[in-house]
Amino acid sequence: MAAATATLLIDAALGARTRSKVAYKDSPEAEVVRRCQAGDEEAFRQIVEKHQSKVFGIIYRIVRNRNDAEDIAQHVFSKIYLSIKGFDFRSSLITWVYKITVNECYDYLRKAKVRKLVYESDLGEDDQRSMENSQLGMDRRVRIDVKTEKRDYLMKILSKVSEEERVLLIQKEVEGRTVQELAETTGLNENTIKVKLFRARQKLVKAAAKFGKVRA
Amino acid sequence: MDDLMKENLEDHLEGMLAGERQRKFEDYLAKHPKMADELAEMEESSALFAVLRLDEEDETLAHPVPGFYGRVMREVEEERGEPFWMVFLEPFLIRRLAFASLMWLALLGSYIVVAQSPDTTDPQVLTRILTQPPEYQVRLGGDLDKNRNSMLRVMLASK
Repeated sequence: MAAATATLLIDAALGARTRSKVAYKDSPEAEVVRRCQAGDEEAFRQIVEKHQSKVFGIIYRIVRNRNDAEDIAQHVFSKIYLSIKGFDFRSSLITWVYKITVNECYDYLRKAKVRKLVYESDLGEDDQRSMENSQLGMDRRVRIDVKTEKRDYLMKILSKVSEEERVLLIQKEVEGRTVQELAETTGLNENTIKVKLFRARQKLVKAAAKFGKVRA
Repeated sequence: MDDLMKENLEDHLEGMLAGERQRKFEDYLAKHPKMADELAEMEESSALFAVLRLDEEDETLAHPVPGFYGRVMREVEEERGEPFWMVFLEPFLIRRLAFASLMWLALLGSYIVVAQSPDTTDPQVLTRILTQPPEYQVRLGGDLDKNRNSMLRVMLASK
């Protein structure tokens, strides 16, 4: 009896997955993607115009700098253009775009960390002291530092989960997407999404224990 | 019972758990304090994401300025125009290349060491080593003084 129920559940899960996969492949957006894969630049323009705000928004949330967000977003879309032939319709385009976007943000943060270290080592001792002593600068700096520290800490613990889990968590927590919406865009069934999110959260807890708590 | 946690966690974090499901969930947590602790930590890490949410002021800034598509296409053109060997300057590729070269050097080095050391398992090589005359020959005869001098010369030379 239990085995029969399990089989039914698996069938239902597979059915749901196949249904949503087929549904995405047949969607109008999938048609645009296929045109883009064939080299149609107008199709690419449609993709950019549809997703640019979402992509820019997620980058801006992470880097908090408009100019840098603009550069990263441009880079994300040029990457999409150059690699769209590899898109296999296993998930929706936005899930794939999200993965590229989050990876580019990580790349930026890594480079920014190196740049900051180089910049600080280039400052003279007097410059560093005057920067630290200005009261106005200090208050502002503390506020920004705490926020940046929190963001860096979050990105650090997020780096301990898989790419897929990271994208799911960001979509769920930042964009406020529901489990059902995530199931639709990823082509997975709702139970799978719940399990993946549960495991991702467990990994975050483990990573937080490893890195220690961030200051409040 | 982990299934109950997996099933209800997201609704709990969204504050959407109610009625019978909420009661069951709370009963489960009361019986499993370890899970309750883990849930508290999950709530804490979930709260961290607030730093990525935007307030109204930021919301207006979170859009690209007009002409974004044109700038993207310019970047595409630039990337297309890059010579093929630029790919070798990618940092991740350099790291991999350096690692592969080191591995290759290590392999080559160990091969040379193995190839140059005599094969002591070969009986012919063993016989040659055993029958090889020693480096310093002491010529001994009937004259004790000469023998002593000869021995001293060999000892001095070996120093």
